[in-house]
Amino acid sequence: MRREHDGTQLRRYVLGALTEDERAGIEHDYFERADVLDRMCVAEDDLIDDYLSDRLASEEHERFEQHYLATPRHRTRVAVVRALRTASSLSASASGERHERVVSWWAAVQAWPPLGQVALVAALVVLVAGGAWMLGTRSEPTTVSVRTSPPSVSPTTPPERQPLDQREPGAPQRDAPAPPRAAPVVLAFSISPIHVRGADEPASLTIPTGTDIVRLHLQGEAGDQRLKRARAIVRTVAGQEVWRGRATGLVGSQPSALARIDIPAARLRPDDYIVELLDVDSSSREAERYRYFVRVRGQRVKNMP
Amino acid sequence: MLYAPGPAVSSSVALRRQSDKIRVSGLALSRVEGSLGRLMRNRPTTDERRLSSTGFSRLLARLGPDSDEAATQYERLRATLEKFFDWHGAWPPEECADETLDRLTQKLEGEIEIVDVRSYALGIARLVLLEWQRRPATLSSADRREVADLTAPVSLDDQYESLRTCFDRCLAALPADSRTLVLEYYVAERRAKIDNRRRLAQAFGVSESALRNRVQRVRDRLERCVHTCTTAAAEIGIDAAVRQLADLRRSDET
Repeated sequence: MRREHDGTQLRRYVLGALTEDERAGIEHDYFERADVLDRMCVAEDDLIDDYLSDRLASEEHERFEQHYLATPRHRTRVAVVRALRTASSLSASASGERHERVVSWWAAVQAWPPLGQVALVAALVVLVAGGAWMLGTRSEPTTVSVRTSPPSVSPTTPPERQPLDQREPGAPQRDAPAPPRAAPVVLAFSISPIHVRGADEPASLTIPTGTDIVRLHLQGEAGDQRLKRARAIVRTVAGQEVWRGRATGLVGSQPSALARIDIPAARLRPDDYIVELLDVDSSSREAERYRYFVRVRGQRVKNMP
Repeated sequence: MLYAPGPAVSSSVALRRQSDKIRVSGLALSRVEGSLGRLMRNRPTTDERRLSSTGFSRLLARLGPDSDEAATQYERLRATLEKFFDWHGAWPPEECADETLDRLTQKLEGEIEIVDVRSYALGIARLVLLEWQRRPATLSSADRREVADLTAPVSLDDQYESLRTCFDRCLAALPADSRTLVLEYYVAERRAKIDNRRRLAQAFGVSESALRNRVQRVRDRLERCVHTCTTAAAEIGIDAAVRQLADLRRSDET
């Protein structure tokens, strides 16, 4: 009997999440049929891509790290794909030319003259600032600022969400620094808690082309206690989680700015989102501190045609 | 008993075996069989490991009606076995696939009736996997280092340096067209990625599936090279590992 396996089932096979019977069925089919093996390989590639783009849902993310990355060879695979993606994007953005000679991708960045690096950053600032201004991001009382950020987004992602492939095969429990890359384009945006905003227009945001990171400054109220171990969860209004991660406490930057979160821009499709800011209380129990609403209007992600 | 590469041979043998791996596509059966001797010489042997020419001929005959089809199907079976072991975390999958094929050819050498050779291969593969899972925990030096990492601080800078150096070297070692292909393939994300790959497939005049298979072969080669290089670097240092890599490349070319 010819069985068809949906993509979810194939992904679950790669993640070791199927029952023995289900697994045996898939194995029988991919030994017999080349198209099933082909689809299995596609499913594996998609999983790696989604992991590296931080697009895996939390359960898949956890299984990917606990099961798939438990194999040294798989860690190398993910690291190689990651390096290839970086090398490809560096190559495309730096020269627009095809690789026809030996390329050292780390060396390629380091070889840029300081003036060139400054020029790139300046160009990105102009591009994003111009885009933000043109597309309009009005939403009182929120404030919008656009800037590029030298450090990557990793400092604002929680340790448990750090891609494990950043590690060398010989060090599965430690995080190695991410490879150098061009400074990401960051769109910063401040939002107020829902109960403070009252009858104001909902905070709305248009993400310009080329934006890598959306940095949300989460405002609080006067007299707020400093955050201890905060994190945030971003869900659509319909309840679908699109991101979770550490919230960095802000002290003394702006009077009402309580925390900052960095979200990959690609995660925020046009939709209405609820941002939940959580922190531990005096008895070390996690509780919601504030809740925010943000509307994302149409955006175009970097590299989209 | 499965062949389990020890620390001393893991890096060099793995890379050499990869380059020496028998390639049967497009070869006449006699040529394939003629390659057996070379294949066997390059395989680490154990008392139990025995690749029979008769069994191998029978396997090929079962896989396809003519030599080309048989060769294609043999490669497909081998690739399927490698992926099976890879997804089960059995390491190294190439060795486990070899072991399975060896046992399959031995069975075929006897007069045992095998109705479906692929299903039979899967059955053997499951046994090999079970043996692999039950094997004594002989850790390679890299594995031991991983365990040690849990308790003792090591220089992450050195490890990171190894990975990026190995990646650079291995990428540079690819033939120019393979390097171009694999870099082009990974150039975009999401929708743009799909469009880009479609465009690439059209440019190469192949289906998207064929393009993906081609890229996967290049990536597998890169991955094995990086893995071998980083494993060697952990044992003998990055400079020596890079030299070893260059030596192996030279010997492969000659």
